Order: sequence, then C-alpha cells, then structure tokens
Amino acid sequence: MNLTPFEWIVELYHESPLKVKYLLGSIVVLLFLCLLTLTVLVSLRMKLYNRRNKTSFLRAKYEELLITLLYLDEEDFDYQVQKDEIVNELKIAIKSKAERNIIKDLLIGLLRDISGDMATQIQELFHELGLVKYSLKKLKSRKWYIKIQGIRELTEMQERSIQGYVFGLVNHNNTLLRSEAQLTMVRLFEYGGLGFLIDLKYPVSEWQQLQLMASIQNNVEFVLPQIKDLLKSKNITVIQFSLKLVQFFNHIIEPEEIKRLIKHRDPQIRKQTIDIIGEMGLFDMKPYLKESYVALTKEGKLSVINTLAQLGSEEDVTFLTASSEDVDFKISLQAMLALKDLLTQEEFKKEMGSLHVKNERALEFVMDQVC
Amino acid sequence: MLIFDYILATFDWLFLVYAGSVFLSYIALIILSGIETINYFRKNSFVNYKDILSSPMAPSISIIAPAYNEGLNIVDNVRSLLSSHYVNYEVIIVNDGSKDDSMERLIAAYDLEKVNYLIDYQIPTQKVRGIYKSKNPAFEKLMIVDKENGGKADALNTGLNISNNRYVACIDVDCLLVEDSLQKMIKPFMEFTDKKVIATGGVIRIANSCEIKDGKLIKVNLPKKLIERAQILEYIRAFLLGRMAWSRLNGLLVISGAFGIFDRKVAIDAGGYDTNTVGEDMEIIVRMRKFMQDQNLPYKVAYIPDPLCWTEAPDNYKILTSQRNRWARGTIETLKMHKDICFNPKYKSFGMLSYPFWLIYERMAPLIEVAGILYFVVLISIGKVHVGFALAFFVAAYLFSVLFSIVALLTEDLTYHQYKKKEDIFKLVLTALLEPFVFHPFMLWAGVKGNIDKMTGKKIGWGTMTRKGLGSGD
Repeated sequence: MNLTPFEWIVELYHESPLKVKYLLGSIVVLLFLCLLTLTVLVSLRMKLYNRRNKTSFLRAKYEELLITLLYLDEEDFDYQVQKDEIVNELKIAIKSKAERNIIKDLLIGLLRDISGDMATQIQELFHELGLVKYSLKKLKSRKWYIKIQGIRELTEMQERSIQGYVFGLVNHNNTLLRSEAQLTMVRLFEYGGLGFLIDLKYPVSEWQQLQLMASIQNNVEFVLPQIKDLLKSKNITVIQFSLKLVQFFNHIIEPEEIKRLIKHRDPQIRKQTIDIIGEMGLFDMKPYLKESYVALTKEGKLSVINTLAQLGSEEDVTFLTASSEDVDFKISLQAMLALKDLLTQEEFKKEMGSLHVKNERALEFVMDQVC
Repeated sequence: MLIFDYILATFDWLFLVYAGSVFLSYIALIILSGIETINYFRKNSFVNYKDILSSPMAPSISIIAPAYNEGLNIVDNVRSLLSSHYVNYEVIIVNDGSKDDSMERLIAAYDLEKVNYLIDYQIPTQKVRGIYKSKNPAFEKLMIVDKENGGKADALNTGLNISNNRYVACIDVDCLLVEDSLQKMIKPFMEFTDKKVIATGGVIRIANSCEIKDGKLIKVNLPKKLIERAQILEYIRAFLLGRMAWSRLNGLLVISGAFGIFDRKVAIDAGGYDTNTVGEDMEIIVRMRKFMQDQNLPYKVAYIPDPLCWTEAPDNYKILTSQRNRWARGTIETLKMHKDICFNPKYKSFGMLSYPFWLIYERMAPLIEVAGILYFVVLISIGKVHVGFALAFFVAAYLFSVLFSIVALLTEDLTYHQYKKKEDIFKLVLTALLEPFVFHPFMLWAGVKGNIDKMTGKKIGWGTMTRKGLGSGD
C-alpha cells in the first residue's frame, strides 16, 4: 500500500498509544512555535536594521534643518522666506509619528544643551510646529506611561499652563505618575513648587527625594517653602526630606523644633536631627542629645558621639568616658577617639587607665595613635 | 511479564509527566519574564541616572572584589573598577593569600603603603596581614586588604567587615563593569518604601571576543567558538528569561557571585557568606531571605536586566565542566543546608514555589535526565523499547530546547540588541540548533559529576580559570 508522508503520519498517530499521541501533538505544536518565533526573530532583525538606518538618516537630516533654522540671521533679506520654508518642511514631517518623535527628541536634546534666547526660540518652535498639541493630547491618555511622556515633554518646554493638571496628580495612586508630577512642580514653579508636600498622602521614596533635590539644585529661582510646617507633617518621609533641605540650605530651625525631633518616633529622623546639630554647631542642644541617648538606636548613638566629637568640651568627658565602656565595638571606639581629640595626651592616658573597656583591640588601637 | 510491562509503562508516564511539567513551568517563566520586561522598560524609560551622580544623597557603596592568583591581570582589573561614574564609592580588593605576585604588582602600580586600620570582626575570618592605601590621591577610593588564604567566601566576609558603607557590591575582580552600573543597581534600594530591598542582582554577559580598551567595553562581538557562543545563549536564557520571571515573583534564589549589591547590615546580621560551601553566592541569598522572613520583615531581592557586567567565559570544555561542577555542588549544598524551607508554608512563595522549583528543576534535572537516558538504553538492550515513544520524546525535548533559545534571542533583540551584526542572529540560531547535541551533554556530565563529587566528599577550593585576558577582540 502506497501512503503519502502525510497519510503515513496520520496512520502512525492513530495506531500509537496515548502517550505517543501526546508527544506527537506536542511536536506539531512545538515545531509550529519554533518556525513562528524564528520568522518573527528574523523579520524583526531586518526591521530593526532598516529602522536604525532610516532613523539615523532622518535624525541627521532634521538636526541639520533645525540648526540652520536656529542660526538664521534675522538681518538677512530672505530670513522670513528661509524660515517659512524650513518650518513648513518640519510641519509636513511631523505628520508622521516616527518623524515627529525624532524632531521632538532633537528639540528637547537641544534645549538641554543651551539656554538664553536660543532656548526661548526652541520653545517657540515647539509651539509653532504644533508639537505642544501632541504632548497635551498625551496627558489625556489612559495609560500612565503615555501621560508621563506628555508631562515630561511639556516640562522640558517650560509649559507652565499645565500647573493645575499636574498638581492634581501629586497624590495619584500610580507611583511613577505621582513622582513625575511632583518633579514637574519643582522644575516649573519656583514659588510653591514644594507646596504639595504639605498634603502628601504617600511616602516619598529615597530615590524620589534624590530626584527632587537634584531638580531643586538645577532650578536657580527655587524658593524654599515654610520648612516649619513640613517638619510637623504626619508623613515621616516628608520630615526626612525636609531635614535634608535644612541641611542643604543651611536653614535655621527653632530649638523647640529640634528638641521635638530628637525625640521623634522615627529613628532616621532622630539621626538626621542629631547630624544637623553637629553640622550647624548648635552647642545649646548638647544636653538634649545626652538626655535622649539611651533611647537611640546604634546608628543614633554613633551620631551623638560624632556630634560631641565636633562640638565637645570638658563637660562632655564624663559622657564620652561612659560610652567608651559600651559593649558595642563601634560605639566604644568612636567614643575613645572623640575623647582622644578632646583631652591632652596625658589626660587621655590617665582617663583610659581608669576605664573598663570591653574591647581590648579598640583600646590598643586608640592608644597606639596617641603614642 | 505483565507486571514488568506495567512497571515500564509507569516509568514511561513518570518521565512524560516530568518533561511535561518542565515544559509548562518554562512556558510560565517565558510569560512572566515578558510581563516583567515590559514593566521594567516602561518604568525605567523616564529615569535620569545623571541625578544620582552629582547628588550628596547618593548612598555609599563599597565594591568588594576578592582575588586569588590574579597577578596577570589584577592591575588592569583594578583600574577598570576605579573607572565607575558613581561618586560615593570605594573599591576594596581582598587578596586571599595569593601565591603569585598579585600584591607586589598592586603595591608597585598604585603606590601603596600599609595603613593603621582597625577591623570590627563582625563575621569571623582568617587573619588580615595588612591593609594598604595609595599614597597617590588619584587612587584614594582604593583599599587593598592582604589576608591569609581562606577561600572566596572568607575574602568576601573580610570585605564586609572592613566596609563602613551602607551597601556592598560583591564582584569578581576580573569582571568589567559598565560605567553606569552602580547607579542602576543602587536604584532599587532607594525606590521602595513599603519593603526593604536586601540585594540587587545584575546580568552577567560574556565578554569573549569583545573589544575592550582601558577597562571599558568598546564593541560587542560574537565569538567564533561554539562553546563560547553556546554560553552566550545560555546566559541570555538564564538572565533575560529565567531570572526576570523570578524577579516578577520576588522569588530569586540566586544572585550571580560575579556582580551583586547587598544591604551590608542585613548581610552581616544574617551571618555573612558561608565558608563551607562552594555556592556561597546562592547560599547567602537564601539565608538573607530566610533571615528576613523569620523576622516577618517585608523585603525584596531585586534584579536589573541591563547588561552591566561583562566577564570572560571558559573557552574549553575542561574548565567549563569544572566551573559547572562547582555550580552544581553549590546548588546541592545550599538546598541541603536550608531544606527546612522546602514546602514550608511559613516561608510563603519562597518555600512553596522558589525552593521546590530549584530542587525539582535545577538540582534534580541532570539526575533525572541521565536516569531517562539510561532507562532508554536498558530498554533498547532488552528489546523492550517502544521506538515511537523514545523518538517522539527526544524530538519533543529537542524542539522545546530550541524554542526556548529562540524566544530568548527574540527577547534580547527586542530589548538590549547587543549583537548587532546581520550575521550574528544566524550564528546564534545555528548555535541554538546545535547546542543540545554538542554543548548540553557536557553540562549534563558536569551536573552529574557535581553530585558524585558531593557524595564522595571531594574537596575543591577557589575555582581555577586560565585567563586569556579581556579585550583581544576577534
């Protein structure tokens, strides 16, 4: 009996036991999936290759056009004609999504590299080409990452009309959208840029704090808000960030506020406050540091000792001597090092002789430094 | 005879069910990695990593790189580690009692002098002979620790003791870090407010045949040797599909010893690296996770899929099988050490999903595969084999392996697209087709040998690898 290969396979399938039937079925599916993914892979590779070539060609073309446009001499007799010609060409190009993205990215890139009149010119061009319309449209998207794209583009172009919309997002439940809105507030609005912190419902991550601080550093016109209110926030991360602002701007805090913060339930806030006392040289606060010492974490205790090493005087010797006898290696070592700096060589040796230091190695190390 | 046939049929079904469960679990991993990859790219396409470079708020990191008999390349390797764009970091090289001239070379190249430094031995280690710092301010971030030999884990523990920074990046000294690797790897530690990130793992890529100049990766090339290309494929599969999927489930059990960042305090509180296993990189992650879960603290082991760390892979089968033997033993030892986690509801998905997966599909896989092959050989020899079943089984397994590789290549092309030449993709597809016949048997042998060596108690120390040095290009 002559069978075609297909008929042979069908017959083999029918005659096979159940387990072989499963395997044959799997082979057919796997073979199909292998061929499908292989086809996608090869065509994708070709597409990527072509797209890369096309993009680099278009990028070079529009970059040249934009630079020509920005450097046109207004005094030239055909200035307006040349300008209209380039603008019209760009307006036609932005009808294509891919080309629009290239032009938009080029404008944003140029804006980051330059400032002054040229920057204003780029922002005006962004409007003139109608790109602002596309960015505003992105704000209406239901997808969070498209909204972020829109906000980012409009922020780069200093589009301040979005303030109300962006402020409405600072407490959004999507972390990234909320973060972007907060950054925009700081980047665009020098007055009240950090106002959103007052009513912030969500914690501000360390990463977000870092980005906010970087934005503040880049915004020369930024005005520090009323820190006092922020330090009373129920949101612990807002207080932590506010203390970083205090450190960064060398802002003065009232003693009562410091006393309250040294006893705050959050160990990070307590530690930050102690560091501020040292950095700002607030000698009057030393008694409160010692008073709160016992309740502190190891990191907090180390901060107190470091602060006393900076601000210490004779009246702190007893406290540091007691800390030198701490069982913790680091606390004991730091306290001895602080004492060493505070006392004369003779006084220090005498003081060490009367101590019951738990860690001999730490004591030897400090004594070696003295001798 | 009937009973014998019944037993054979049962075995057939057991192998079939195991293979089927492997297929299904890997398909699940593909889907999960796809979701996680899209998520990662959406979340990180807006990030400006430049902010962290100039920020006074950038967390401090110690790069700890243990070295043993690395004299040939150590000076260049250290220079590469010192070239990171990150600001707030230091490099601690731990010379683990090298028998070669590593220390002499370092002292001469970096103008080192012995300094007075007190170590807080929070984790017990071998004796430290001395700590060296450079007299040249250009190398102020560098610290060299010379210690008695104690193995890689002991050297890493010494680094943990010496570091005063909040985070430690534990890396292989011969690894080449991309300049922005630290800022990308540190980000997860700073972005969560509801849980503590205890470690972040990075992707390891193979640098054989790549162009490297002054410790920097200039151009990615595909090596000519099949053994190297097969490892590239294997790494892409493992890092872009496997680990990405486990990251989605917060179920990562291993962070490559070649490059990972840890919360120093948690690493020390959990006891540091275990010096009694050759799989210290996996063991510390399992122990840190256990430590956090025992205290009911919310945590995460994060993962960054960007190609941030490049390393030299073995280019001959002898070194490769020895490396994989160590990996297999590391897995066996770690899983055995922490067997109380397995199917323990107290450890939630860590105990009910991650651990059992590793046990069944990583630890047991080579043994089951070899058992399957032996089973068919026995059946053939006694004339009991069902040719159709045996053939279909192997064809299905082969096709699945090829499919998994092609999906990995597709993911690589859609995401990082490191191998840009037109012909690269054809070479990699050809590698995917040949790998099950020419590469996989060696991996299988290494896995089985790892089991035998573990059972017989054969001792192994630092993994030896004959380095040719990076940057030669093709």
